Amino acid sequence: MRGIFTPITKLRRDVFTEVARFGYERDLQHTDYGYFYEASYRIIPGERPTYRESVFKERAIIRERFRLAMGMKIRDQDHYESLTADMQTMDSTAKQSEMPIVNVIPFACEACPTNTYRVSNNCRKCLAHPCTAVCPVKAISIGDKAAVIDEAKCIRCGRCFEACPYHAILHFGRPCAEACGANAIGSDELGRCKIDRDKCVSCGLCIVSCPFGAIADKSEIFQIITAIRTGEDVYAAIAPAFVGQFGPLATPAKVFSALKALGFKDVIEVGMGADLSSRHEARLFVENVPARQPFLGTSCCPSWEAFARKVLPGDTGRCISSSSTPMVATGQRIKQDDPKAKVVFIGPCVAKKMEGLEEDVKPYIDFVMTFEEVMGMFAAKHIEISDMQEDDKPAEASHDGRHYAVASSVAPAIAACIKELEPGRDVQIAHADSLADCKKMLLLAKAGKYNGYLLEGMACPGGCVGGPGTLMPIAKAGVAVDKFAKTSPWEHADQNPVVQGRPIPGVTPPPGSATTDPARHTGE
Amino acid sequence: MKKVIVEVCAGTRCTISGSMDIVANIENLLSTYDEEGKPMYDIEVRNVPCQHDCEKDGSLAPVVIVNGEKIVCASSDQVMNRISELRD
Repeated sequence: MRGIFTPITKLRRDVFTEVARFGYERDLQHTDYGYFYEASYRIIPGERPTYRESVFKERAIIRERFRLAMGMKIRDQDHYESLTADMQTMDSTAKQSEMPIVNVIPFACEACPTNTYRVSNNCRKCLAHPCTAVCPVKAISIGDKAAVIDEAKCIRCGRCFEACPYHAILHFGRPCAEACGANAIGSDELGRCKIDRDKCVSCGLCIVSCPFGAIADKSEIFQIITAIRTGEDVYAAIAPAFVGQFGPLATPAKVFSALKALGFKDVIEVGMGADLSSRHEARLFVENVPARQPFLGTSCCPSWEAFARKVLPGDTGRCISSSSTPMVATGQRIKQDDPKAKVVFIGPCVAKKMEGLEEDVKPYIDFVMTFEEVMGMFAAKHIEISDMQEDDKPAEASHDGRHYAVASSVAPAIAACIKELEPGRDVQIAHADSLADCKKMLLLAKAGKYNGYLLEGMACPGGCVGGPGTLMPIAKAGVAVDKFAKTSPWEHADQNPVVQGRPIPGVTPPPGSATTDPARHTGE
Repeated sequence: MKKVIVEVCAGTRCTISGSMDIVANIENLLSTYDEEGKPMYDIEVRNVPCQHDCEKDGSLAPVVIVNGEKIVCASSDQVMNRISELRD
């Protein structure tokens, strides 16, 4: 459902808009959190249900969504917990949210059947009935009106599904589990979705895949607006995927102006940080592959990186770059120039919220939010992006840095820098987008098939433009990113004068240890 | 088959309310063909700036104008129905 506007999309965005409006309009001294009771009636008006069996349940779910959007945990439902009593602990200009970022609202989950085969009324009770012939456990028989599957016997092999000439056998899966490349979705004792925290890498694809809207992520909109309103110097670091996300009339220069109208002091392209990361990873590659490690994996996608370390524990997992990500590199650069700065990363990504909670990332990145969430801020503040003046900020990122948002662009950007460092070196590249494909690539790498390679991994199909926090269909977003990238005066990262002379993020490890240091984001 | 002009608001409120998804759905109509292989629709889609209806009432977004006739709180199926009616 990514890229299709559904009632769930609407509700999610309504929640962001209401929380943003609360942030902007509340009395900073005497805040009335009762706002959220009233707001739940604005989003779910009337007495007749629109989405579920009752308006009471609809509003109850919206209220849990409000809590997540305030950065809070959802409440246990088996005993009384106030909706608002602990909200004042969120009234802060500093990060408040904690893991887990991705949360199931259990009573919104409809406990979909897991991996089941059922016979539909497409069944013609045909003479051949190949379904019975192919079933290895004889779980399917021909009943009075149609084929019948004995669920107790069925081993869910799917052979009947493939054999039926009328496509009469249906496969039921859980959309959340099917979207999860990390196999992290299980069930609680009531058969509802439950996320295995040891496996989850916070990619957020289950959030946009659940047809009942039962999964949501925590947000920092409230703390960001509070920081802006109390006069802190809040900077927006905007991810390369932003182009085109706010509509076809919202040009990049107008988006910059609109962000300043929200109260951000300045807007910095994370494409610039991508250029810093490209240069650093090129150096890591030249110094370490193949002498100290068989291959190098990119670091920009936090879900891919976390996933790779789970799939390949130990030394092989450390072949994933220890470089600072473009987000961290951008935050470092902003804080070098303005030590009082608070940095908000605005991107398409839920996993960046997880990365933002790492201890060695916190000094550089204060908050993380998605394009969808910032769109809620625009709506709450009645900012019409297309009416904005074009900001005259000069380019700070190369074509390659701006292109990081599209799958299979990161490794070529690094390869271009490798060619500069070591002319004549032929860099072999493999890439994968979606965690399922990343897993295949990692297992091949472990088996030695990718020795000497630069491996690019991204959790979201299509790359960052396919992230869960986006607003535009993926193909259109990719075209917009490409068009904007081409307007950069510089082709590759090492041609970008903005990053010349800047300390390259991360530490060059002493010889021998290479990237074997498990600590990442080592700072200066 | 008559030409249909669809103007879709690309303002902030309409975009957040899914107006660009309506555009994507209309554009899908452009690649539907009848049995003789002829296009089934003659549609021109335009992105227009904020129509200012939402300033009074934010719930009026998204706004879509089909052959000059304004549809508020538009949904894809509403707009596509109207296009089908106007086409014949």
